[in-house]
Amino acid sequence: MAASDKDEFPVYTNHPVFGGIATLGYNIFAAPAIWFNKKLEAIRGEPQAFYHRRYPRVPTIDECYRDDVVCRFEANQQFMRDKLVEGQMIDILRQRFNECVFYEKGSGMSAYVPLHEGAPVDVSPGSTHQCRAVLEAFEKANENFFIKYGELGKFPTAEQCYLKQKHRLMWERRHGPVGTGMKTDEPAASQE
Amino acid sequence: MAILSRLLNVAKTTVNPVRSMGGIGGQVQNRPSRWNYDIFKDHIHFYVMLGVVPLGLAVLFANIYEGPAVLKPIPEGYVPQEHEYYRSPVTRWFVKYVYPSQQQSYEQHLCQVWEEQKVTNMYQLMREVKRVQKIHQDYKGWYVREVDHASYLRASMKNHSIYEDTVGYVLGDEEVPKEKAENVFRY
Repeated sequence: MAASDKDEFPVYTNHPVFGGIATLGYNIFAAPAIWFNKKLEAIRGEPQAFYHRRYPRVPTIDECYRDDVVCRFEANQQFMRDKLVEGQMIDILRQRFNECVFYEKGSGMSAYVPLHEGAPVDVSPGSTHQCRAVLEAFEKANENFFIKYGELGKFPTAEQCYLKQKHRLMWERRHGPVGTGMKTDEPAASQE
Repeated sequence: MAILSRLLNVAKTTVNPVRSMGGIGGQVQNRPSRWNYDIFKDHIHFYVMLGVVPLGLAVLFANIYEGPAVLKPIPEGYVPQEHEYYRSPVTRWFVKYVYPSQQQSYEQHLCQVWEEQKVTNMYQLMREVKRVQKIHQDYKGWYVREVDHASYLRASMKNHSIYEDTVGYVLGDEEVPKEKAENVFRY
């Protein structure tokens, strides 16, 4: 909690039915902790600041010589960091979609929909609901994440990821876009 | 602490090694050993009085008087010191005065990787040379010394003739096998 003097507004204490219980819970659990924290803030004064670490970018694995193990090691470390960061980004997009659905579904009887697979909101392809855009963003990002990091195992390396991309490009050159099936190995019809 | 608890037990037992004298002066108590119990209490005493209490008080006062740090964005053009990346005051103190920084340990590891790569390259080179030499086995390696065998043979024959003049002809010298006489000089 930041060092501020404005009072925390206890949520739901204005509720007609549950206001009393909320106030009781607040007085038992939250109010003593807030009082204690204010006492400590008076003793401490201005708190110190801490920051999140920022890593400088280093050359990626495709810019390293084969024998330069230092460059490869650093590229690998950067790759692992990037994987964590991008995983967190996917999590944020997923949370956004979940929050959008939760906010839009309504409450009470308006949230009651027949049991079906999927969200309580209409997010089928072609829907104009605002959560559909959020879902599309999440699904696109998820697909890209799988293209980049998928099926490499629990401890992937930058070399594996790079070669996966190379193999995918070669496959696409030979068979067309991914998802359109493989071409069989027929003798060249142009020889006729 | 250990001494006190043990002295208490000693005070309760009396040692009568030779004779009981009718029980006068005390008797050896016939009872099981109290050693495990006493040593357990000693250990608890040690770890609590010297570990839990001082360190707990230090952490408590650090959190009361200094408190945890709050997360802020890095100001423009400012490079935070290593201890400004952590929240707890105890961790910050350790990072500031005890631990090496993350950049230092990272670059030390890079140096170690580089050195190991040099060693690995040397071993790989040696193995490759041996492999190629093994194909025809007709290449003079770095260890071959070009020796003038004939001059050394002549010198050894001359030494042998001097030896024969000194010692005389020894029966059995003629049984030297032919290969040995023409043998390469062994340095």
